[in-house]
Amino acid sequence: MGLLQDTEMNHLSKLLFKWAYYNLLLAGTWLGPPALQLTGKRLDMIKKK
Amino acid sequence: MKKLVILGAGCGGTMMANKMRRHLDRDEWNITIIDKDNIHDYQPGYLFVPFGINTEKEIRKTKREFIKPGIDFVVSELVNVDWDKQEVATSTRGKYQYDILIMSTGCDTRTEEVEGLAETWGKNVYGYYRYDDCIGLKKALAGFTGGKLVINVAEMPIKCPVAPLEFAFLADWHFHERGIRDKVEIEFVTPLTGAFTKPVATQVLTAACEQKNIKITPNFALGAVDGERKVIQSYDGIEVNYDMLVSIPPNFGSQVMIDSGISDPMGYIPVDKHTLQPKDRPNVWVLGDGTNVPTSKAGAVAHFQADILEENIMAFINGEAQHARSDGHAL
Ligand SMILES: Cc1cc2nc3c(=O)[nH]c(=O)nc-3n(C[C@H](O)[C@H](O)[C@H](O)COP(=O)(O)OP(=O)(O)OC[C@H]3O[C@@H](n4cnc5c(N)ncnc54)[C@H](O)[C@@H]3O)c2cc1C
Repeated sequence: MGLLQDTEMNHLSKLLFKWAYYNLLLAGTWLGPPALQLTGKRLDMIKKK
Repeated sequence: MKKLVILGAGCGGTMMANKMRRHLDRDEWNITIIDKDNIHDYQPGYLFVPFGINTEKEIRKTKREFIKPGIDFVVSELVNVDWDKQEVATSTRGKYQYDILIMSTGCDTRTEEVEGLAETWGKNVYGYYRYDDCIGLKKALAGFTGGKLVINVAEMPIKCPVAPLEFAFLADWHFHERGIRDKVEIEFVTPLTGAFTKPVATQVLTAACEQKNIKITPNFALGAVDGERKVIQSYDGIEVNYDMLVSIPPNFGSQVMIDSGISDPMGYIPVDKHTLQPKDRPNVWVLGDGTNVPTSKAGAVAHFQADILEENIMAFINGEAQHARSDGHAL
């Protein structure tokens, strides 16, 4: 939920992401597996389907 | 010499070229990456250019500077992709045969797909999904002193589906900074059923819109733009008026895919959503915005897809089973 909040930290992280994009992502660096596989997912809603 | 050809030197293509060069022996494998131009835009920065937060220097670089040594970079427009002949054709640099093909040609906006949109573009309708559009919007915003700003998503899918809401929030901030927020009405008009696609995010983002006094008009399938009357019309006859329209036009995959007969009518290449391979093409992989997989069109998704491709392509080359499966995650 923290990722969705209207905070200065979130805004700064978004601006800082540029550095990671140029220096890590485009270089093809492995940054580990996806972190949010289940976090924040409404599993109860998925199960109902 | 075996040949790996990569189409598109944007986010996905550049990542894949650099990853594969690390793995593949230079005496055995030649890697060629093809793109129509040498400009690498950091597309998330498009959001900030109209508000003067990011500059051209910060978000526009050359493609060449991100492509590692040992990779041939060809600047020419792709005009045909032939999976049967294992060959791609360019407009000025001839044809390229491949043993393995990786495709990452993205998607782009098409104003001509909506009645009245292309004719009105730059007059009272602006956008920020291309760099030049950001500059036009920046000028228009600076001259906007009050009235109704409408942000409209023409149809889904679009790249970075949260970007239109981010724009609305930045506009709210911008008008506050200029001391004219009370003179500006902001309305977010979307084809979605709410602020966003997922229920939890929709709940949080709807509350944020309410708090910022941003009106949400959902379920609006754009039919036409009437620049004279300054209204957008939905297919079912609803009209929303505006003084300035910020539009996210329909997003299409690259035209060359339609012309080559290998995509759906919107230019998206049908692939298995877990392996990212077209049916019966064991040496072809597609990543990024140009696929038809039901996930966000985002650089973050392309990044995790690239990890899957890296593992599976190496397994394919080594004659091993391909175990990695994409699940569409962005984080
Ligand atoms: C406003 C905005 C904000 C965004 N914000 C975010 C964000 O915060 N986080 C995030 O993860 N993603 C974000 N994105 C999305 C992200 O930029 C894309 O998802 C990502 O760039 C997709 O990579 P790609 O390789 O598929 O396509 P691209 O990076 O677009 O690269 C495609 C390349 O193919 C080339 N090409 C196309 N057709 C041809 C042809 N016929 N011949 C030769 N070359 C061709 C193009 O020139 C281009 O270089 C944003 C996008 C926009 C527009």
